[in-house]
Amino acid sequence: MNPPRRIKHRKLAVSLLLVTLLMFGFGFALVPMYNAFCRLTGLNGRGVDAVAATYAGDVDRSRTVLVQFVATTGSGLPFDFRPEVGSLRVHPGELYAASYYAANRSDARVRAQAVVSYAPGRAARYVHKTECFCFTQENFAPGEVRQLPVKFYLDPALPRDVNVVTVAYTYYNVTPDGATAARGD
Amino acid sequence: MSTVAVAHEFHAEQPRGIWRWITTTNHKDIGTLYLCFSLLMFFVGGAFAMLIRAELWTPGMQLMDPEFFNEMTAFHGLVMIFGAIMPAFVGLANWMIPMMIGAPDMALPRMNNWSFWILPFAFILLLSTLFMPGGAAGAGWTMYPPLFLQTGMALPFQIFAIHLMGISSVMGGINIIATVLNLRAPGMSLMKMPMFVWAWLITAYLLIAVMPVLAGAVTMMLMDKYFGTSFFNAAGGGDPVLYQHVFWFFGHPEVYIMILPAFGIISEIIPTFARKPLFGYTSMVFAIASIAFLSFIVWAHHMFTVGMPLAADLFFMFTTMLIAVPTGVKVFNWTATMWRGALTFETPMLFAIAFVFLFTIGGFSGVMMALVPADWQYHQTYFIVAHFHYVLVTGAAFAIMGAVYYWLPKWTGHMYNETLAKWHFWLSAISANVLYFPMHFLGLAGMPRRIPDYPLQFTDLNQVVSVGAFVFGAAQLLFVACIILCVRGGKKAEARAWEGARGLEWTLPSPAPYHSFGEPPAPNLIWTHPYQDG
Repeated sequence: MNPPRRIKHRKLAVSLLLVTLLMFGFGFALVPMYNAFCRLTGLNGRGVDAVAATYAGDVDRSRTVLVQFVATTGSGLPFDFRPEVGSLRVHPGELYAASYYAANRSDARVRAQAVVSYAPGRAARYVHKTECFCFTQENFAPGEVRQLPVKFYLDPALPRDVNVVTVAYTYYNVTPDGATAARGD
Repeated sequence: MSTVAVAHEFHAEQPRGIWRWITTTNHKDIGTLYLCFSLLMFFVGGAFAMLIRAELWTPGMQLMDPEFFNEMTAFHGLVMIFGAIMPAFVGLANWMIPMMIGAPDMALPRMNNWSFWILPFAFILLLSTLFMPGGAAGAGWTMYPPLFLQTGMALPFQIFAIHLMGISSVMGGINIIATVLNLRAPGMSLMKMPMFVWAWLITAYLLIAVMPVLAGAVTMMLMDKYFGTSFFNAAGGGDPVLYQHVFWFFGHPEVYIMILPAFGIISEIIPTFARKPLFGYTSMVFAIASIAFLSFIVWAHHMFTVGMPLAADLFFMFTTMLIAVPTGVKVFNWTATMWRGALTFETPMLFAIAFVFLFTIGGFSGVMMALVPADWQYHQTYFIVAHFHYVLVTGAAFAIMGAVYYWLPKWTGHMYNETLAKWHFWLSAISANVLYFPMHFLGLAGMPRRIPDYPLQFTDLNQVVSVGAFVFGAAQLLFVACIILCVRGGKKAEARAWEGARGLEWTLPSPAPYHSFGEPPAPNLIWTHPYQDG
């Protein structure tokens, strides 16, 4: 093989290798891109988890929206977990309180984290929570039973065609490894 | 052929026995290694499929526990995709591309040796996880979290195996691009290249673009499991659906990596046995290029049911349906190539015609699933299993079998046993349809994939499918018999083994000498190429 050809091969191979590395990076770049997309569309309740501390808006009494509460227990969490009220009829702009029931069925300490999501996705940015057990991780003593409060209001700007909003909580076991034998997996 | 003799003397010192195969940098040796490896993996993956079909013979659990069944569906997919189909295409590329473009060897022969020899280790690593405590990953070939992350100690081994396969594929891709772009014989412009070379050039670009994305996705899972990150862990603010997006950004180009080289093969075989130039060469090139481009913007059609916004559903539905256009161009061009040709039906041609028919059936069910509302019914049922087996078995695998029969005379210097090969073809073609066609009905009736049990009313169709599977599996033993008999002897093959064959590889004697095209072929030979008539 003559030298100029070898140089030609090397140049091409190196540039193709660069493309490969670039695409490896692109795989990771998809993560922030996906999060930005979700924030933009309100999918997965992204970007709306901040505490809405104050609200001084008007209450729209002409409109009633059904808010449904759903609970899912993540795998490996030895809990009874359910909403205490299945649904509420609410007026946009008014502050409401709801609560969830959580009971640690195991005889070990468990740390749990709730993640909330909304359906339809585009309603997500109009649900404002002033208090939520999903903001923090909660520690449960063995056998502990607790009432977990949620305070929220719907933004009056909620699109007119949305008459039902589902608020779904999934509770996950985030007990650090080794701290307990209660992990179910 | 004096240059050939000189080249032989020059390499007289080359090692013999097993060491020859380990140290070889010769493209024909490496091509042979790839093809033998993929044949072995075809039978390993096939054995897994036989276990799956045996378990599904009757409702209820008979032979294995459900965890092992899940491992079988996962490993059948992984082994067939990364172990059988992809290495077979790379092997064909290694053997044929230098001879088709008049090059002495691949551009980066040492890397070529590496990219093959990584593979056996990758698959030993992958298959060893089946024997590990806690079991292998039974989360499908798509390895979705959170299920995949619940795998025990087998998880990092499987992820490293995937990394190794990716490295091997990327090195193979870089080598093929370097060979095609830098080593074409004088006079062979890009638009005079055989279709197989064109298809592989584009496939190689797809490989280096998406294999690293898969590597990234499985690396993220490794980090989620062992380094406390939460890419896909909802409890930590991540999202398992993100994995599906990253995976299918790799996964959809990947399915074209497994079919574009097949398009190239069919475009070589059909003109030979129709004794006519390929119809619409230029449109064939552009069709492959546009399919490759579209493959990057359709990925979410694999996940219509995760709950995307309507606009996204529509975007992916329309881009997916658009793929039917360039694919249709190819199917019509193959048909037009056969139109009024002087057709003969040797085994490679039979496989090629079966490919055109059966791949098109797979294409049609693909268009059905592109429709968002309809896909909600087909998703995760046996309908999708039927679809991708039509495009991958009667599509990709039939093309590979056709290619093997087509070029065996060139590789071995002997003609294969036509009677035996025809038996292989007819048994395969009939049993594949007995095997895969009823799956459409099972899927429409609601039988989910990857489940070891099913309700009573699906029994009859499942037994038909299983009978088809066992016959198809047994028929492949004839394939091995044909290859072994052809290597050991048979009618002497001429340089131009097929009357209608054109292209530079047929200007070399059969079997092709160990070193070919030490001197580039005369430019006038390139003009005997079949594609320049129109």
